[in-house]
Amino acid sequence: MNRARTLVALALLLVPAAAKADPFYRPVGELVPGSGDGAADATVYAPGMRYPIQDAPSFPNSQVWGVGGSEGPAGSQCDEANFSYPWHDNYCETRSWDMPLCPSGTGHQGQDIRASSCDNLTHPYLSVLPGTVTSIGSYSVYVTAEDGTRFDYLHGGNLVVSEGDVLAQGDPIGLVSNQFGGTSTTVHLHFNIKQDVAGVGFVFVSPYMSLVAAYEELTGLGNEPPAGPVDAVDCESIRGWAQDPDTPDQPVQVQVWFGGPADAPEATGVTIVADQHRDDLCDPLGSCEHGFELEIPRSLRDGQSHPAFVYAVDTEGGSLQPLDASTTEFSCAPPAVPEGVRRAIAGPEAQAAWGFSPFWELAPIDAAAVAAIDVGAPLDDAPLWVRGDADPESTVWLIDGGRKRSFGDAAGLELWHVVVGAVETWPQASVDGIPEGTPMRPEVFLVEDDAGVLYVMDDPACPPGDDCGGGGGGSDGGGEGTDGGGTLGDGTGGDEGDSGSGGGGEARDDDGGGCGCTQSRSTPFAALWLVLALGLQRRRRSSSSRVSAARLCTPSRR
Amino acid sequence: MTSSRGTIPGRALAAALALSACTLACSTHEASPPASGERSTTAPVAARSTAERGTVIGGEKVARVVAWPHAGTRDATVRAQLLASVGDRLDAAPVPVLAPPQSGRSTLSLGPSWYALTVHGEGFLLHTHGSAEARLHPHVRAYEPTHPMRGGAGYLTRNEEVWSASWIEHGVAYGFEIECDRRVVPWCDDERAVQERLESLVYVGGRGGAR
Repeated sequence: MNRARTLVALALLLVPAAAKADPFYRPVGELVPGSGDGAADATVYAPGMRYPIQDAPSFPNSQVWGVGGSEGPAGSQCDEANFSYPWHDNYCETRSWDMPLCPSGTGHQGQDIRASSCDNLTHPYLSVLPGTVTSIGSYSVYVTAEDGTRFDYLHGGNLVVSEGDVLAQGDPIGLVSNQFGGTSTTVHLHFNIKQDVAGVGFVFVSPYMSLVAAYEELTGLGNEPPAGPVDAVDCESIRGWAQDPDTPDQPVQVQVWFGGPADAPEATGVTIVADQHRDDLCDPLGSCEHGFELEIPRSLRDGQSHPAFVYAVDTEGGSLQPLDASTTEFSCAPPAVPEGVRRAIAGPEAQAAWGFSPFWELAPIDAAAVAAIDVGAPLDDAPLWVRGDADPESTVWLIDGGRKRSFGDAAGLELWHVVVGAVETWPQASVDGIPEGTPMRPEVFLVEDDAGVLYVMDDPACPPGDDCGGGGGGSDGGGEGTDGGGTLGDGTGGDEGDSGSGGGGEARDDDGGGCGCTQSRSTPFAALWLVLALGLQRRRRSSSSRVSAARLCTPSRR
Repeated sequence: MTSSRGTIPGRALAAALALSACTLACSTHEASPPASGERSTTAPVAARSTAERGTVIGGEKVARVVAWPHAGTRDATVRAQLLASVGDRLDAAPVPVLAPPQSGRSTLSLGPSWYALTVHGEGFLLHTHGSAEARLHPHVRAYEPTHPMRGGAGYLTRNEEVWSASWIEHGVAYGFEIECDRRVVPWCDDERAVQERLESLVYVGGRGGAR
């Protein structure tokens, strides 16, 4: 803890709080009553974007359910109720066509936005990010950003762009209008964000919180900025605290950007809530829950120096506020690779289904070293999690290669990104009848080969015909330890955490190389019964996996 | 957020078959079965530090591994008409370009990991987009496509009178849009006609694949 930094930051907070404005928007996912089932998705899918309409005020809200709309109160589209706060999300507003990210599976795709008035062909709209005009239809303009995210602007007129034009952020596109392919609609901008989302594909994502963030940036909303310090940075974490004087009892969001300042193209930003309890903050700040501690991503533990920039997010909008000592740097040695085999992950859809994060979990290991690791069976395209029906709190198992594998405890479920709501309940006898494999490892450790294929390190599965005597469930493996402390700025460290690596896999080496399977019960009758039972199971997720015992059980060297 | 729609028993069945095989293979070494509802006796995961992981802003970028079709499968006719319109840039596309057989004014845009192609017809436009860089958002997990298309499955939607299809092919996430002036394009209200155009997209080029 750097006391000087804390005092400086405290001094910054000793300014009168500005009057608080009423929120200008209803929460994401809250639609006009009766207009559908919203997605409470607070993701800012297009960070750093500009607000699409040139000037405030502007009013994202429903056309169909607004005054004068076909499902709304009678009146004129120019009714002042349509041009007043708060905003309403209408991304998932009732429609009849596919919208996979909406709770009902159908929805509106984007957000309707009114300018400050209903005057036609008066209000300019602009490119929200740099991009290329990739399509112009009779009432649509698509602008695709460098990263492939597409922004759709519908119903505009008096266009000043052509297909192929390269636009800077804020360049004008046209004027808000009512064009609709030969007919007319109300005067508004329909704004979509379409993005390649792992697990789904190239689909419409919610623009609402991106609009909120952009509007806060556009309007400022004059209030006191948050403040706080970065206390320490080492190979364990980045630590500090932050508080917003306008809302002193609320935790604030902190953003840490690696590789460059906020929104720089080469930088990766991470958001975390500063809500950890710290006794040292209680008296000076008047509340204690303002600390944060962010793990150093494994993908950046490569022995190189990485800059990091730390900001607090104003609870009432406005620009990011750099924390005291917010620009820092770290260098951490690569972690040791645990023993075991590497199991291929099929692609982004499988990564999404398993919840893996290369940023947090991928070790920057030399491709030659990866190639030297034995190859195990590929992971299924999606995990199958089950529990028995005798007790709703019973153990959650992963069904993997015809075996059930435990996660240990709640922390293990979180570590392996288990979606508790997606765990299937099976007849207890079926679960009991599945032979037990090694427990899941105490960390998700990803590696990548030179072809860009991701693998997760794991235990080898049971070879068919093996006596399965090894392993003993891995209880004596002792876990992975840590990646080691490293030394700030010197690129050293990281080796002392190797002891105890391997979990169940390590135990096998001690007893002659057994396969590591742990048998709970393995009667052929139970398995055959399960074949019939599972044939009737209702499955929730799609998967193309075809599990083969032979494939699963034969490690090979690549 | 996970999908709760649809029913595909195949994977559970496959898992059960694998279980049968593994059970038979390993049945020489039995251990006591756990009692019904009994908690796992396996070791808990190791203790962890208080450091947390944040959420990657804007989603984590992950590369798709493109499975390039052989150059011999390119549609020569459509390729020729597109080359006449967009030139050699077609073969600089970072992912396989799918194009409609429709001829017309065309615009091809390329990014580091995507292409976008717009072809204008009489009163309508056809737009395809292919991406080899996905975003991982922690709340988005596995989804089940709803419409059969192009030998697999995807999503088909229509809003603001624009048809949109999304699917994965060649390892790439594709999108296809049709926008019409309904005064002159009556087929735009016919889903079957839209699907026919979706199915008619052909591979025409890109910078990968054996020649």
